[in-house]
Amino acid sequence: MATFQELVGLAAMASLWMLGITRVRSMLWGLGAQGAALGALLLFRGINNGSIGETLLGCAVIAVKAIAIPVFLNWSACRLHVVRDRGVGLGPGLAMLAGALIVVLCYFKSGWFSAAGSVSGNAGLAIATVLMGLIIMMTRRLALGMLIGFLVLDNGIFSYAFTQTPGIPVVIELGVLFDLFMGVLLAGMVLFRVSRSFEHMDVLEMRELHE
Amino acid sequence: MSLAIHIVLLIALPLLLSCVIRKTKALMQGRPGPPLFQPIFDLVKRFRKGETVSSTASWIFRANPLVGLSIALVVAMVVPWTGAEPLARGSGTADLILIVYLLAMARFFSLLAALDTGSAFGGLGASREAALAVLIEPSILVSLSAVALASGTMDLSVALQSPVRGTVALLSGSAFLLAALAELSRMPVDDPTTHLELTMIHEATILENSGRNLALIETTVALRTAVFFGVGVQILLGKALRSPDNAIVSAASSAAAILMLGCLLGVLEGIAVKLNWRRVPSFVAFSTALAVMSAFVAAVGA
Repeated sequence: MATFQELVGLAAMASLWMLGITRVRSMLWGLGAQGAALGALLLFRGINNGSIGETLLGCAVIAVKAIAIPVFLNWSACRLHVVRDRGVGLGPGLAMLAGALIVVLCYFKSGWFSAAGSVSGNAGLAIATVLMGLIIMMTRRLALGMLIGFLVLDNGIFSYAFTQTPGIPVVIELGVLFDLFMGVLLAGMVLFRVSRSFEHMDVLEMRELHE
Repeated sequence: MSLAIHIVLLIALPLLLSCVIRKTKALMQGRPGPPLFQPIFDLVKRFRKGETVSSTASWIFRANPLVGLSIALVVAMVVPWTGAEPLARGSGTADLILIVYLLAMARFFSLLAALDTGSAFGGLGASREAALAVLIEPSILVSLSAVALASGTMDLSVALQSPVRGTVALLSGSAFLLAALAELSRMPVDDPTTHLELTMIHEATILENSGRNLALIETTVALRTAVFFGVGVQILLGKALRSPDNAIVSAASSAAAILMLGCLLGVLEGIAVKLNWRRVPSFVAFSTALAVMSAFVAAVGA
């Protein structure tokens, strides 16, 4: 049986890359590549199993995760005049090596996370993507960078669910995807409000709640 | 038969590759560019020109181009970068550690020669290239080790031609190609066409060479580019490119893949901006991180 581990590995590669860069637009390219890899995973698996629902879901994932969300976030970044998100704590090189360490540990211990009867390596790579998303969220200063970290985390959960379970009904998955997109739109609105009332999005500067 | 194909490709492909890269780059920049085979004409012209040698230069300066070219030729002969059968396949000549340190020796000589001329640029370029080499070497070593681990042999001539799992191939192939960009001083790390003192790395080390010396060095660079690209292609796409019973088909598809990669590099050089020198370590860190990942994926094997 084909396990499509290359595509899960590609998603992990994209998050590793996003750990080490500060330009928001490059991060969005990484996010889009990750979404495309996960969508392609579903698409190919759907075609392999002859399941129309999974194939369609793959197309929907590519449309939302690889195109709609990155394009929307790029538009917001242009409107908010955000180019770079200088991280705090870990520098780019160290962050990438930390990410590689996480992947290695998760891969070694992938037996802990994997469901019976599935390929354990995929579970390790997916959990590593979740953890790298967490690191991105922790080490960014701007709310936009944190949002991207959250989306990486979500992609990790998504790839875990799809490589470890036989599948959730397509209707529910489509609903979750739609919810995610609405969530990103709402977060974008909140970002506009934040930057209008504080004139920046730097979380280090937000020490108290106004009004 | 297969060895003959390897030798033919070894002679033809490097020059063709440098022609393709230059033409694609020119087209990407919106200019017609010189004729396709201009790099070859340049090479012939340089072989016939006289040369100027710095008065402080010793025999090291004269020996460097020959050492570099002969090491590159040895590596190109024993490593199966064309997809065809190399010289002395399976005899352990193409040992991974040996190949990496042969390349390091070539670099050592080019650094010595750069310092030997006594020009300020030589020292500057040598120090930069040495710093870069320290960063890149682990990445190349670890990504090749991942392939060696996955195929169970240190002999590259066997390891590169044995089937490797897709994930290992993807991770170590990308790590190797990214490291190769830095090693060959191509675009995101170093601009091969720049001669600005603030930015040049590799160019600064060969600035004092002219005439025949320069032609030899350029041949070496072309050969090394082809070998590194070929090894990257063999790791990344080897399984798809090889056809076990027909050597001509697998060599031709590998050659096509290498030339495609050259086009890709031309496009990249057209759109990318050279990295800030202080950001280069994080570029290399990505490659190293991928290499470490691939080595562990190969070692665990789940």
